[in-house]
Amino acid sequence: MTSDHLEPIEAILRPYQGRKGVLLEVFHRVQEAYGYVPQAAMEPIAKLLNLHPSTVYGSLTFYTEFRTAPPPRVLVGMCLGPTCHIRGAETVKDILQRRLGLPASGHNDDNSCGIHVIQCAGHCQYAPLVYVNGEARREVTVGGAAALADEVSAVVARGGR
Amino acid sequence: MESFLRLLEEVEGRRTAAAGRALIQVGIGSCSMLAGAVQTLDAARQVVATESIGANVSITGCNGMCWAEPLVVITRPGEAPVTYGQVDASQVAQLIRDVVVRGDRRAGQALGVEGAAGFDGIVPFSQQPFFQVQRRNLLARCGVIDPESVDEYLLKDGYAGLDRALTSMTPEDIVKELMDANLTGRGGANFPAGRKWDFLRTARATPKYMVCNADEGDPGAFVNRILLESDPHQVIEGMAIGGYTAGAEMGFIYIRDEYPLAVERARKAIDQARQAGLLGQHVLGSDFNFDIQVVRGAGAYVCGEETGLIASIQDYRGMPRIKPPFPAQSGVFFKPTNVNNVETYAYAPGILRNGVEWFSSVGTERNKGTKLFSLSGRINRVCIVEVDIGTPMRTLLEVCAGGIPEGHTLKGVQQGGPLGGVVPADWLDTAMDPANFNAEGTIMGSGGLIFLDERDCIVDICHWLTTFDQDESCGRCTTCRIGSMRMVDILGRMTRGTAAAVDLQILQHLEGVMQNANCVHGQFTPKPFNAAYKWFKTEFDAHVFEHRCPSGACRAMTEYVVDPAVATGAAAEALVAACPVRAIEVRSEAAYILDEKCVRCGLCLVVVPGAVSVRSKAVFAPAQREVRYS
Ligand SMILES: Cc1cc2nc3c(=O)[nH]c(=O)nc-3n(C[C@H](O)[C@H](O)[C@H](O)COP(=O)(O)O)c2cc1C
Ligand code: SF4
Ligand code: SF4
Ligand code: FES
Repeated sequence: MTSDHLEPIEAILRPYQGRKGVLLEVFHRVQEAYGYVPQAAMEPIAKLLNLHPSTVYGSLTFYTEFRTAPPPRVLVGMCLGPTCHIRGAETVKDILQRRLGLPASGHNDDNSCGIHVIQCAGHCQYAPLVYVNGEARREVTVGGAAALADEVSAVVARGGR
Repeated sequence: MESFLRLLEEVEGRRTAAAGRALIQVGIGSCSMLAGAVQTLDAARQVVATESIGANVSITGCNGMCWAEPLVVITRPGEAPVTYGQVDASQVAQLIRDVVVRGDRRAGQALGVEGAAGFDGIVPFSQQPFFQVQRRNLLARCGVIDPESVDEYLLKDGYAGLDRALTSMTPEDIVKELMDANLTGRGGANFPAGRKWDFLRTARATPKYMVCNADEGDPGAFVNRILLESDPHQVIEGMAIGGYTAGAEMGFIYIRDEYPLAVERARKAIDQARQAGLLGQHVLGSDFNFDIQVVRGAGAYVCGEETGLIASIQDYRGMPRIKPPFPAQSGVFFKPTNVNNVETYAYAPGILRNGVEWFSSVGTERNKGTKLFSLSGRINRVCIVEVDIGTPMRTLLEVCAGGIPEGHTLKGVQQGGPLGGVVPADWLDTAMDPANFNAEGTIMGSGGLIFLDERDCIVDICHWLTTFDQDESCGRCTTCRIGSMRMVDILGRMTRGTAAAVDLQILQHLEGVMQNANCVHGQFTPKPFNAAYKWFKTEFDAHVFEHRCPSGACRAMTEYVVDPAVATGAAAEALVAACPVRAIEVRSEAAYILDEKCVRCGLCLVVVPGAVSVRSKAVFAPAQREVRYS
């Protein structure tokens, strides 16, 4: 990453300079801007917040929500919470994985598509719940999984849109 | 006092300016947004603007009827608010025309009306069982006021508790009042809140911090979410009262990242409270200074544990540590800190405003007040309710959740989150009181109840819960990190039918080992298994000794087989087409299922009657040796 790529990170960091208790917020802001938290951001973050780079990296990798590499272009978020689980979410996940040719976890080789397991946020009325690039699909039962997989394939073919 | 009265006068003045018109409120909460409530709101605004209808459109929160969203509340001038359910964007314009312009009540789509009396065939909420079994002390304003307006909170007794604290109570008075009320923590451990606040009050080091735990990581628990999304000022007021009591000038609300709307609403509410002089320097003209910062979590369950939460706030990995020192001695930035759950803080304003009796006159002998519960799983209506502590679980299931779906029977209830367990169906008449759960070696937890029926397998649920715990172990203690892995491995083998008798002994042995873990997460990880094994022993035995899953939920122990006499010709083609993972082929003119490809989705069962059946799969059974393990 070249230094002009770092410019926006400095802009994101500026309001937090020298403050304590803002590291998680900084990670969130960087991830919102970049889609992930790049390795090159470690040093500037550490410097601005007066933390050791290992503290910054250690915190970053503790949390499942932060990514250290770019997300797949089509990210399928799946709730495997209790209500989704008993209503067949694992089987839905298996069907999506097989039809989309995805590995058991993470994303495929060209990073065009991947599945990310998300935590129950209490929308269990609509279980099983699947998100395609952040957009919710409600009540995706085993019967609807194949159709959803084909829809996702079409999005992948369009390059994520 | 004077500052507060002046503030109320200003708010009153703004309200009279807006009076005399109909009010249309669309319930906007994260769950209703999934049901299309934002589109409903846009459509409502559009019809009011384009057809010049004399009405104001605003938002409100969620009243707990998750199954009936999107909700629209219409108040005609001088009348009580009527709530309509399942109003999607295509219907709202006609609803507004009918109700506001033509005066047709549309009673058929009305869920109910506020107040004691109904009209035009609309039954008041106060006469409906769903509300009759509730006591909405904390939910009083949820789904009633605009959660993004401090004015509306102030008009509904908001900040009166803080005003009373600042003008006429000493910190000792407040501690005494909370102790008299016997308000206990709602986050799971039930420690008296008054005592905790007093620890912080008497701590000598400064500065001190008030922390609100809104990490709500228990899957299936979403009671903190409704409070922050639908009535955030109530929580803020509670934290400010706590800050005044304990001598803290700074507070943090740690909200899980899965609740973006709660984050947004809490931030908005804090800004508004600052502007109104309810936070910041000289709160309500007094000498008390208090401010709050929102911290967004990032998907770590152990950060709900208070010392993990503290580490997370101060930029470290969110790993719990050994107590003592307790947070009141060393917390955020190594300074005295108080951690309470959202629901605990939310109760402080009401107790100060309405008195001790208001709180403690309900509940059981040992635990007072009301408790919020979120109901999910195999039920007809997912909902959030607030009932007196001591209400039987049956009331929650049958009245609030609308029972188990037709044709199915309750098997058990998953309670207490991933460190809780599963209680059997005959617990339905047990009172929802933490003491009753503690007496049986488990916990009531923070309010999530997941109902299970005969289709669900307890061993599978235990495996699921323990996998969650293992995934979320912070990794600091070997006992927790490796112990939970061992448990997941064994429970996983049980769900595949390859466990042996010795495995049951190992699981029981692990409970003792894991007591050496640093924090409650590791110590309680064996709880779900132990509680479930106590009540569902036959189900575990069937998995271990007979290698079969009685409910059929454990997919690895079932097998789908074709009857080659039936599944030929067109029937075979239909089966091939029905399988979502191409596990069915035609071989020697009949359909054939490739077992290693089949995901056991069951879709082929209903295609051609009698063509496919499910049976118990013969699995490799380890020798059932008698091994003593100790
Ligand atoms: C693994 C683990 C997770 C926890 N998660 C939460 C949580 O999400 N919310 C919560 O309020 N308390 C949680 N607790 C309990 C807290 O440690 C603490 O007891 C509680 O926040 C105190 O607040 P209260 O006294 O108002 O209940 C958790 C505890 C453990 C061991
Ligand atoms: S018991 Fe588990 S979660 Fe708690 S500190 Fe130890 S490893 Fe971490
Ligand atoms: S159960 Fe599902 S995956 Fe298995 S053969 Fe039938 S349709 Fe295919
Ligand atoms: S279990 Fe998936 S939303 Fe709650």
